[in-house]
Amino acid sequence: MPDQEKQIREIMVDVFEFPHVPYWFSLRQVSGILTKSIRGGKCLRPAAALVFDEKYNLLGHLDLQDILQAVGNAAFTGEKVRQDVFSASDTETTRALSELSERPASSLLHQSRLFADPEDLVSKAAELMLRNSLPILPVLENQKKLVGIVRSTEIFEYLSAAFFRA
Amino acid sequence: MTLIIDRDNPKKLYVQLLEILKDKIEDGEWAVDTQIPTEDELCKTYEISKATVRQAVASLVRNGYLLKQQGRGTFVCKRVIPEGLSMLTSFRELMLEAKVVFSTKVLAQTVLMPTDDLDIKLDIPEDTHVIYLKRLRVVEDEPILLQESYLPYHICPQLLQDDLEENSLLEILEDKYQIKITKVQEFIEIAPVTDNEGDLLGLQPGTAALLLEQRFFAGTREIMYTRSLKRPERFRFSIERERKT
Repeated sequence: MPDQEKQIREIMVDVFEFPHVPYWFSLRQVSGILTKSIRGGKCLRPAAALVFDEKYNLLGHLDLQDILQAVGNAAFTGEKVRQDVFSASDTETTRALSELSERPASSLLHQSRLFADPEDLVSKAAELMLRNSLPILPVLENQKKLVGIVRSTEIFEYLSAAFFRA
Repeated sequence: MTLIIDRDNPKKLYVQLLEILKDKIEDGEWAVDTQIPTEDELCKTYEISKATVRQAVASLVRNGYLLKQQGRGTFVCKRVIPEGLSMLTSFRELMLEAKVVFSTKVLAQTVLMPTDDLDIKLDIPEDTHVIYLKRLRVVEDEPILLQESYLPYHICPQLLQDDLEENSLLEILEDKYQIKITKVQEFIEIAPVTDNEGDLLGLQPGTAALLLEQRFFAGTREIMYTRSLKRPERFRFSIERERKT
């Protein structure tokens, strides 16, 4: 561990580095937003969108992996490996994907249940994220205002410094 | 409140009658769907000519207070909100001017990313965060207008905390954020309402509503895009054209 442990506010990234979507956006819309974010080169890892309610309260997040998993479940059914799952002629798969694309973001989101405070030490965020397998951890000021996001990337960078020193 | 026609009053007779009748409607003495007295009865009551009565009634019909039904008579109608095109007037101002009881319910005040062609409509890069406001306007206990507004977040981030039920958005932009709207580009069409819009406006899904799209500019900078769905029977747009001499 570094001698002088940092606070979370020193390593967190701004919430506006991540795309924002309301929970009623369809998965088609969220996929479009994530695609633009990746293509525009501004996308942070993990490629995720923060999901909010009508009053701009954070509900959770939705990442590329969640959407890929859902697409896979819809397309790759049965045991046999199929070659034509994404072709327009495969009506069953097309229908399943079409239904999936219209589902709301809320149907796949990871609810935010754990939060950090900007004044907390990085080790606290690291413990929370590692114990709960969280790719991102929202940071709330005064337990209310969303001010930043801690990603596993920052945690890894921070901890690896200590790891190599040990 | 004026109750009689005063012939010594410098105001024209038809204007005096118009004010008397308007007061009766606005004060609820004549409720919606009430048949007003006939021309002859009004002439007799106020001791004025038929021409004067006709002029006053015609003006109230034009301004959405009365509805003439061929062969049946003249009735008090649900208030139609007269709205000029490209007027930089807030809904609140319009309602106060029309002396109508109204309220605003904020259904959403949050942040999202532009989808579909919103980035083009707002003239912003597609990865710009946008403030999204959804408001339902209620007049005389009836929802009449569903408004969705989009503003680039960086222009006024504090807008997320502002009280938009009691205050006008245009006034907040102007007074609090010093954003003076100088131009509005408007597009009007008829559009069917979706299930959700129909629920909110009390209309059957697929019913035709008036769709008003507005792009607000401060100088050359686009500030806001608004999509308003209006119950068609409650609004009337007026356009005044002037011939250059």
